[in-house]
Amino acid sequence: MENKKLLKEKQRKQTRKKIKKYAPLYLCALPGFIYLIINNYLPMGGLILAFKKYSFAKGILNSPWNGIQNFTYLFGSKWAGIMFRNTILYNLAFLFFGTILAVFVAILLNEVRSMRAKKTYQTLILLPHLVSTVLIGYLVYAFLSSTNGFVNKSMLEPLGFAGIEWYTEAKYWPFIIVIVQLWRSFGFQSIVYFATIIGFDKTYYEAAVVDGATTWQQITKITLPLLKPTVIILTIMALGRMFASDFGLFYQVPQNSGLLYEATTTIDTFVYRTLMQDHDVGRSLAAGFLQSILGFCVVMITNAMVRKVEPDSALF
Amino acid sequence: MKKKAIAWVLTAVIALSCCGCGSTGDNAGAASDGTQAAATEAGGAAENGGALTEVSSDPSEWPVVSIQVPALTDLPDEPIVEDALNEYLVSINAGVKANLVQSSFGDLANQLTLMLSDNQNPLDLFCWRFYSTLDGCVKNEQCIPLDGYMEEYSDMWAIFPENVLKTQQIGGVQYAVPSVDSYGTYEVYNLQKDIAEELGIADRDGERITKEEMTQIMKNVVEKHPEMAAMINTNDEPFIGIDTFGNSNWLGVLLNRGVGTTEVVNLYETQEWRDYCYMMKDWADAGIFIDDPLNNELTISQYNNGIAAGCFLGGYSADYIKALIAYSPYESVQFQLTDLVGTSSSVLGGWMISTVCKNPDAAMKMLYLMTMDENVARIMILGVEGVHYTVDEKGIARRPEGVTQATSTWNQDCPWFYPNQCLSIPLETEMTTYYTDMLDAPNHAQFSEAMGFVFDSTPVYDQMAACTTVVAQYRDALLYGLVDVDSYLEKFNEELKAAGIDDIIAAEQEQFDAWRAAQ
Repeated sequence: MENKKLLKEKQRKQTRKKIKKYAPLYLCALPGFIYLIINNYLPMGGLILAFKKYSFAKGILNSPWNGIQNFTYLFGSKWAGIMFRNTILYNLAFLFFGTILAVFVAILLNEVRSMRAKKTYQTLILLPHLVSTVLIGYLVYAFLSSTNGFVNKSMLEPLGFAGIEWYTEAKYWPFIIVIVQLWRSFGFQSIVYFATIIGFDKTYYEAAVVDGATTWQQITKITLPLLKPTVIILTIMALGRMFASDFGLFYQVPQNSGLLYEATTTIDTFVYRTLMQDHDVGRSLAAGFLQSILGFCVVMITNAMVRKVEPDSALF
Repeated sequence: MKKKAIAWVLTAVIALSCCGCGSTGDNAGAASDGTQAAATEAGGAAENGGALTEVSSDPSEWPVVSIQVPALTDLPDEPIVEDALNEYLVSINAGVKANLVQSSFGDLANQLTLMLSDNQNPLDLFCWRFYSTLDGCVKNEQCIPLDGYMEEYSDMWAIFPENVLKTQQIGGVQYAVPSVDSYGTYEVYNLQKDIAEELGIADRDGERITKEEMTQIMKNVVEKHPEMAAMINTNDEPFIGIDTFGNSNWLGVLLNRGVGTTEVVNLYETQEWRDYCYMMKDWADAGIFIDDPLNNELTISQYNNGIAAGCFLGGYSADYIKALIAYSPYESVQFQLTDLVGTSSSVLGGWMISTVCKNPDAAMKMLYLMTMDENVARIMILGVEGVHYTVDEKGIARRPEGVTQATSTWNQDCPWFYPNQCLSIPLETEMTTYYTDMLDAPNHAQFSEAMGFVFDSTPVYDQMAACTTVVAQYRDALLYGLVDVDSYLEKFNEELKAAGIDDIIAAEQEQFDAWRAAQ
């Protein structure tokens, strides 16, 4: 009993010591922590509106409850299936192709020997990530405009094909959106992977070269296995956003063309349209509420699975 | 220890979240209290006649009413105009003062939605035009009933024809003060004069033409000038010939603009709509539209920039329409397309008192002054005389030397947004009868059978939302002739049926019949 008390006292002292020692670091983290609380946690109170018929006159707490009516509307329309299908499938496509492309480019970058060339490539591939989605929308339009677009005027028509009305045909857009997203995001992702790769212990590679390993063998036997934990962590984080979508990508890039809705409606664009057209806060929040809950579940499930298969790579 | 620390952090987060909820709740509670107080006051006003009875002798104690003012760009002179307005209000012992709140048209939906739920800095007076509909604002409880103010401000209500006042009522309850206007318009095809001269039709200015003649004129325009379009937008209700009950998605309409007909129909199933779609396809194939209409801005600026040679315009008289387009760099001729008709959508805006307003009596007094007091209306519409405009010998307002529409520091271009533009004077036009003719126009107009009817969409709320999405998906492509009419129209109608358009039309017909029976 005495020992336990002493042990606890000792632990407390150590903690106090630690807090004192790391106080400046905690202080550094404080603004971020406060931001997180204000921005990510406080608004959660508003989620109750998903179960209410919001009245501007009565405010959040006094608006009348309407059970799950906001949800039944959501699932009563054909858009529920479309928006969940689109959101999930696009995210899976981004995750799958995005990871392959980013890892591939990161390994290529690692093989570039000239420092100047390496820096130039890094800057160039990062540029699309920094361009506003509205501008990307116009860039895409410059390619796909049915009358003056580059694809119709400079590619299809010179080859003898008829021009395509890109903004009225939904069937092309799953490909267009995936391509645009990959182009936009691969630079940033590959730099994250590249940063991991350059941190690997060089002695592995030196030993492999001594043993006569080819570059391909070095990639498959050293780089990829060492990169696996980073890929897993980034994948779990991406899975957490599985039910979220980049609003600009699905709204600005297809220019909100009605005929493309089947291919471009995601949870976010649906919520926006509902709120903008009807100012219906309850129904918009019902979709947002589902989005958050499902995203949370996916993260928990994925992390649990990773923890079982490879405990060291689990996020928590 | 680690677990304990995490537990503490989580507790703190949850506690803070709860504080957030609590504070939101308090605000909401306050909002509710405020609203209830407002509602009670309004109710009280109904009983007492709604008078702002006691006016303090000290203007600094007067209630300040915040009023939405339309802004196309930032208005740097807002404080000057506000001061001038308040100075005038003090001079007439109005008992209320004004706080002008700029609202940009580009961001109206976000801005107004936030302001109308802000109990701390409430927006007291606002206009539903461009933001929502009367029905939408009432359904979302964003405005209060004005019935309690009928007696006290009877002279204000009397300036409106009865069927105009009814356009701002739901279930017999008055929710808004309509904006004074001509309440009826006819449509013209407006064409650049030099192109009309080239085609040898400039001397037909003002002539009435058929749709077929108009189509031929536009085809001739693009044949002579293939670099130009001949039309901008085709989303034109008068030209299509419908009374839409104010619903921009046309979910249930009266044909013939509601003149002599009381049958609510599904426009998208009618032969008239099918023919219109064929005509649009014909226009598209002839190159009459601007390139990629779904991806381009379809506004009058395309005409003013010389991208389109012509466009639809609407107004109550030929002179008025000419005055409307006088600012354009191009002189124009107009060909009349329709009769002068007033529909349920002809009252384009209505002024409301918000539910977050803390002093509805004061707000109503201010709304009364905006509608009835010439000086108040003119200061808000034109700014300060001598600073933002001068008045010439004909009684026309002129901008100061070197100042244009784009460089003016007060927005003088939206007189129609305010409750009573006719109290102001015309700006930068030669038409001295601009407003007097406007007041006379209803005497020459035909009116839709539905003039004054407002559809309460509450019983078919879900169907309206579902059909709105279907319309957003299909209609524009048909309006700009981008798709095969037969196949798309079939799909469009199938989806509308599945979304419940028949329920909407049945509800509209039922309410419309009941409304007519009550007249």
